Order: sequence, then C-alpha cells, then structure tokens
Amino acid sequence: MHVIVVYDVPADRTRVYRKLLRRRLEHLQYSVFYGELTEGQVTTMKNDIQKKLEPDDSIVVFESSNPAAFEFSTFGDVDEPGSRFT
Amino acid sequence: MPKPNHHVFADGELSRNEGTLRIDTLAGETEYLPVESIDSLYLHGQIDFNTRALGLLNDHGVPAHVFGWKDYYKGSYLPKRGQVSGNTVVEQVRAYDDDRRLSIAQRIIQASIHNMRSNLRYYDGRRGNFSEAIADLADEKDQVAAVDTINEVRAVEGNARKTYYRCFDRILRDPFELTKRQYNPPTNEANAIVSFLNGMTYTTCVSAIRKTALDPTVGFVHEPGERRFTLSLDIADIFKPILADRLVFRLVNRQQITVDDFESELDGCLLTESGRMTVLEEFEKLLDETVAHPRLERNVSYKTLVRTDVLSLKKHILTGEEYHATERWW
Repeated sequence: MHVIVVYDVPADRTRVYRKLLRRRLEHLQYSVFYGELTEGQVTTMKNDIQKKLEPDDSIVVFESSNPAAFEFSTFGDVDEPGSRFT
Repeated sequence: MPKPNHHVFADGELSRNEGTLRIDTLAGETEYLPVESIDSLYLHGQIDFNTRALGLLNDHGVPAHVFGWKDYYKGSYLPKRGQVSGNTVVEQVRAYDDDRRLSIAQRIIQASIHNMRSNLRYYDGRRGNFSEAIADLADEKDQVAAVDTINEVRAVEGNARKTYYRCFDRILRDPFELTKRQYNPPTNEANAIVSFLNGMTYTTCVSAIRKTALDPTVGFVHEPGERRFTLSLDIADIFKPILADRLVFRLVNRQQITVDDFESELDGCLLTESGRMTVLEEFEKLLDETVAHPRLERNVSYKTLVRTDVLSLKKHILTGEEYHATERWW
C-alpha cells in the first residue's frame, strides 16, 4: 500500500512524529513521509500516531492500495522516492 | 508484496538514530532508512558500524549482506533466529542422513534442469536453434529420476549445466561470449555478470532460509562442509536460471549492459560500479515482478517464490508432504 503522511504540529513536537514515521517510511521533506507498507504496518502506525496525539497536532495519512492509481513526478533537488540505493 | 531490499553503495557510517538506521556518507549526506520496511540490507561500500546498529538490525530481523573488494560476497550478518525449532533441525539432519536426501536432491536438480530448459525454450527460434540442447536437457531431467546415488545426481547436473552454458554464446549478443563458465575471478564479461548475479541469487536464498527454522549449513545436493551455507547453494541452483541467467540475457541483448560496464585488470574481469548499479536495479525489479501461482491461487513475486520454495522444503522434511521445487510454469 502506498502511503503518504504529512504533519503540521508545534515545533517542539515534530520530533515525536518524525521518530515514529522514520522507522517505516522514507523522510521525503521536513514534514512529508512516503513509503510502501503492508496493511498491518499502516494500522500499527495509525495506532502509534493516535497514542502520541495532543490537542494542537494535525496529521494526515494518505493511502492507496492500487499501485496503478499512484504516480509521482519530481522537480528540483530531490531523490527519487522509493529508491533502494544509497 | 514482500519488503524491498536496500543497497548501500556509498562509503560511510551506519548507525542507530531515533530507533532507525542512519547512514552518514563520506560525501556528507545523511540518510535514514526505514528499518521496519526493509527486508535485507546489502553493503557494497566501505561502511563503519557499531554494535548498536547491529542490535537494531537484530531487533527487526534484517540480515546484512557484506560485499568486499570488487563486490565479492564476503558474508552476512544474520539476525538472531526469529524462528527456532529444534524439531526442524533434527528432522532436517535426519532427512540428510536417510533415504530422503536422494529424493530431495533429485527434486532440486530436476527443477534446476527444468528451469534451464525453459530458458532455452524461450530463446529457441529467437536467437538460434536450441532444439538439440532442449532435448538433451529433457533427457537429463529424466535421468535424474533414474540414478540412485547423490554423486550421480551431481554428475547429471554437471552435464546439464555444460549443455546449458554452451548455448549462452548464441543467446548473448556479440561481443559477449561464454564458452566456458569460469570464476574466481571471472575471465570475461559474460562470466563476470553471471557470477555477480549468481551471488545475488545466493544471498536472496540466504535471506529466505533465515526466515525459517531450517539450518542453512545442511544441504542436500551439495555436501555440507565448512564455512558455507550449502542449503542456500541448493536452493540457489533452482533459482539461478530464473533470477540470474534470464536477466543476464535480457540486460545484454537489450544493451542495457555493454562492454564499457566492465573493467579487466589483474587477469580477471569485473563489473564497474555503475554497471553493478544497473544490474542491481533490474535485479530488484525482477524480484518484485509477480506471477499467478496455481497452488496459492494468488499473484506472488519472484522473491516470494524463493520463500515458498524453502517453506515447501521445510514442510516436506517435517510432514512428508510433497516438496514442490519451483519449476517455471509461466
């Protein structure tokens, strides 16, 4: 499942979600994460997010289970998302 | 789809940071790897790491395969066994010791010959006439069932492989040629790329076997010796025609790989770094490709096929259910 997670949280709380998301997803931009996860991983991730949630936080999870319905283009100084090489 | 592998070509440092893997390259870049979404880690560059990084790999069951000078396979750091079953190991060794060994070895070699043959059948008429070799391989496959010692099985396999490799020359676009399979070090371009991909197939099998309770050192076709994973060698024999050889043909014939991607010095011939990258990218794509599986009744990726093969072997050893060595059906 293709997943994109974005967050907008108070500056001192970004690390909470960064830490949680980096374990499973690629850190694309400051508050944007992308990756391919299993359904189970998505559920655990959502539960984890829920546990950390505080009133001011806002997190959006985009999912697409159909790979054909997912496309992306990159511009400028970015690595291709999903690259398996470093 | 199973989790993807990750290849690290850069030189640098691998460490643990905020509960995940962090790579600091000598070029000054920092990258974070999602440790929970990685199947295996391949280290091709010069990497420093410490026990904390290894501990993290351990916690998430990620094997790290290490490649050394010119990408020769050096070894693997395998995580602590997630699957432990004394029962399985005992049965595996018993199977090695009694008459089951021969029948398992026969199944493995039959599948291996079948897969070689299906490669030739694919290229028959496309790049030459291979009807003779195809018939020979069919004979040899039948012969495997008739023999009654392991050595004879291996002898038949050797013959089949010779027949098979003789056809490479005609399949591969000029100037690639493989008249004789040579390695340590590979002597020409074709040998080099075959060796490299065979190595990758082998590590794929190591990763798959590690996910079961089977002992990778006790193989059935290859004689268990010292310092090698003979079971991985066995399983790799089945998958080499599927994962390595077919890819070699494709890369060479479509000119994705050319002689410029090789360097020869010190009597050997090896892929350059950019050549390896091209090959690995295609290898990873191949692992992700899916086929409809008749028994499982769903689409499975090539990577999963390796897994199902190993699981089927385990089941055969434990319960006597038939071992389905992967024979290309698609």
